[in-house]
Amino acid sequence: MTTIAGLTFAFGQHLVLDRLHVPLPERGLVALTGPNGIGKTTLLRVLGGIYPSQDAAVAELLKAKRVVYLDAECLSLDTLTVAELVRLLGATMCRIDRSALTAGPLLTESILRTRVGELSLGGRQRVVLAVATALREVDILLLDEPFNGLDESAADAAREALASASLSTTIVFATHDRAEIASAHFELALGSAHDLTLHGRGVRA
Amino acid sequence: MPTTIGQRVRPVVVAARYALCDEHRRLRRAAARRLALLGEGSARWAGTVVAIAWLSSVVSLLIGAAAPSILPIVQRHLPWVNGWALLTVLTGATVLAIGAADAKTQERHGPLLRLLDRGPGLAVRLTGLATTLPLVVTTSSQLVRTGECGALPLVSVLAMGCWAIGARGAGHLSARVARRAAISTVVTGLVVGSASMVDGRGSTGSSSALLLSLGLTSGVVLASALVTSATTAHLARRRLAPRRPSAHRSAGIAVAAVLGMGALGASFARSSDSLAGVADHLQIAAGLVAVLLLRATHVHSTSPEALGYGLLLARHTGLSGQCIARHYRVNALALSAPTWAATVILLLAAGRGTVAVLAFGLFVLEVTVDEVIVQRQTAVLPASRTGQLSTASKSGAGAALCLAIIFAAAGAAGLFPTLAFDGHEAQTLAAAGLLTACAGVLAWLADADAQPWLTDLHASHEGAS
Repeated sequence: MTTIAGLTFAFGQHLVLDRLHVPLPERGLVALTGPNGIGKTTLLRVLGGIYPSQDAAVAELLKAKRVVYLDAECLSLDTLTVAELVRLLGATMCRIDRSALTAGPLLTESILRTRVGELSLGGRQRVVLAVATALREVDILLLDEPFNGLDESAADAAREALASASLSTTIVFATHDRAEIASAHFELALGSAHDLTLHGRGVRA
Repeated sequence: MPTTIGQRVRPVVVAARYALCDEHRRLRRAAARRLALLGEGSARWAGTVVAIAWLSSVVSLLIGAAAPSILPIVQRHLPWVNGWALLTVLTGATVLAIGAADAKTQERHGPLLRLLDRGPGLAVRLTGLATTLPLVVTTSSQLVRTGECGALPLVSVLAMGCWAIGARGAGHLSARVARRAAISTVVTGLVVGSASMVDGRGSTGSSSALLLSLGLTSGVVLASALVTSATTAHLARRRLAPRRPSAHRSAGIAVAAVLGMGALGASFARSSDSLAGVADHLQIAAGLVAVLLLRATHVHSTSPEALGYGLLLARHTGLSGQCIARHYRVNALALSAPTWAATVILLLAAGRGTVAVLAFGLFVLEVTVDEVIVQRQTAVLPASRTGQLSTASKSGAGAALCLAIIFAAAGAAGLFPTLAFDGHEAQTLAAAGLLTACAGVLAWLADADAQPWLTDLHASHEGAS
């Protein structure tokens, strides 16, 4: 178990995370839950290093572990086709399984031919999840509502792939969906009093 | 993990290739959108237009690299332009262009850059600087050819200062304020550099004097911008002052921009025959305009209405009126003191000691006039109208009065002869003393009058409106 102690983050004078203790299991699927606007995305982005933080605990985590945050904003070269983006990521990232990028059911032929900027929400999420499931040698993978906009079959395939990846990695994903929470190994609940509690869901990681 | 050089280089090349491809397509899309305004079918020329733009970029890069030093040409055809200052401005503009392009790339590709390995990430980041490459090559070539690298240390220190202040605690309000202030200071430095460029009379031939003058002006403006940002942020943190992040974020920028423009105006005026007499007036007026802007954006903490409201609260809580008045005065001083200090130092640096004393007298008068207004004319707004405070406030009346004095002294746009400070040092000092004495009397009146005024105060909707 890794614990990040006393995590604090503010946007200017607006305090979002106040001395939060974040417990993270060594591996498994962790559903991050909580009401809208409580700071789930902010927490993930701070842990992923997207929002620069002065917090020593975060700096230590980013130094000690390989942490990756993924969401649709990673697809910023949006005039490339998905096939070109996949080739770019395959060639420029050491810790990615190139064959796994296109092997799964998430990236169909039509998606591969489409420009990233012209993808629907579901299409973008498919690309993000394809990258997420192809990542290797990552200690903590952070995903923000990754199943949003996916059709049922894609969501099932993504869940299966993430569950398989979670055997060796901690995968934290923000969600409001009860079924997704139930399928996770742990639930990390961010309460309205800015407290964070980890519950085991009884599923073996 | 890559082991051979080829394995290390290939990802970088791939990243650069796709990032350039993305940049090209973006430009083509933007060109097509604009060409479409000319009529259907015009958009198909977008690819050609972008290709020509890239080609022009390469040609200008080559021309910039091969061009001879511009200094002899400038000295021959434009003898009033200081070549060294021209190079400083060119270097500063290049540093700013690189910084702006890099910030834009990081903002757009931040999450992707964190995802990629270091080398490819750097390649994507550098690709964002492609459009600034001709400027970079031209500037570097000019600096190398002229052997005039004196501009580099100054601009580098300023750029590194911006970088360090901005990077530290990025995302936090204080850092953002400091970053904006620092950036505005660099801009001001460029403005002042431009001013020095045309101000050939006093500084031609002395690079070190110009460097000193440029460095001093930039430093003074930087300090005033940073202190103003810090002070306004401190005022906003106080419980009596509502939080208005946008106001104190922009305070430093406003001060730096106005003072910089003032320095530019004064410099132009000093180099011209007809306007030389109003150069000092311009410098003081810039300080007053900056204070007026600060007053207008901080009405919740330093307006007469804020003082009136504080006195009203004091009446109900049994606090001393004088205590509230003094508290208000400290707030007002803290808000405008950095601007006035910068104005006075800039005047002193220009060798205008007497005028600096006059500026100090005006500063003291400005603070006390604003304070007295509330006690001579009830200026308490009821709570239901606090939303209109920014438009209904009498804040800044003191600065406006001082501005009117300076306007009149400058000859009221040619209606009267200018009250020149040169050759009238004794009279200027006497005027400064008189202004300070007036301010002292007004401050004493405000203190003495606070308690009786408080007793008689009956604020109401009708009374306020």
